[in-house]
Amino acid sequence: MSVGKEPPRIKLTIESTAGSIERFYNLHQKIQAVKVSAMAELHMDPSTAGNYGLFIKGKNEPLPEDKTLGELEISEGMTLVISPLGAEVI
Amino acid sequence: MDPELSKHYFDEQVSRVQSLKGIIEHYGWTISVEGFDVYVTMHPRKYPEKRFLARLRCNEYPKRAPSCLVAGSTNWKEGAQYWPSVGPFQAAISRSQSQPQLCIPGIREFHEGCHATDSSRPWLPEKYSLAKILQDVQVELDKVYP
Repeated sequence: MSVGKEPPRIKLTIESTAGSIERFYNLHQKIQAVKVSAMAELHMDPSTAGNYGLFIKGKNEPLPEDKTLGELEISEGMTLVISPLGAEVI
Repeated sequence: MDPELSKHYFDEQVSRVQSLKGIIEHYGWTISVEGFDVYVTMHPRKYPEKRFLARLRCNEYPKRAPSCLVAGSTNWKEGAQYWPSVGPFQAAISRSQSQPQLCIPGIREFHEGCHATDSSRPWLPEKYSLAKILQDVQVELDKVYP
């Protein structure tokens, strides 16, 4: 019987104004998937995911969504923030 | 509205904001509370040297939305001169009033002022938490100084 190698995982905190979660994420996971799954857990409408970016806390630019956590060297214990890319102005 | 009940809901919202350490650090907010007023020192994310003070007045919360204005960041005084005066922030405010008004959902000036008759966008405290309102003000500020 062969045993598959477990993909490396890291624990991250993801925070939005709706709350905060701490979860383990696979380093091969893309940023977009991390963002959408976190939004769902935080009861944010995932269909609005395009209006939000995932940021390293304190950074000005959102993480590129087609990259993986590993490619962006996101490391254990970091806090990522879900932040709107623009506010609604009527 | 019963002031004690209002204070209960208000305190709950303030606690929720203050628990969001990641968000507070991300935006560089400094938060203080005085009565039903929440004062938040904020800066455009790319220009930390430009300081603004947002004041959310939450009297009668949650019956009424928080009223928002920008005050002097050092003297806490009210005045149109303390508001951002350039760029896209102008689109969000009306300067026809004696005091500029921020016209975004979740803010009293939106629900009771410029969109008072807009039944499609009612004031819903469960939809517009204090944290979300502050974040929306922050995003508007970031648009001024891209």
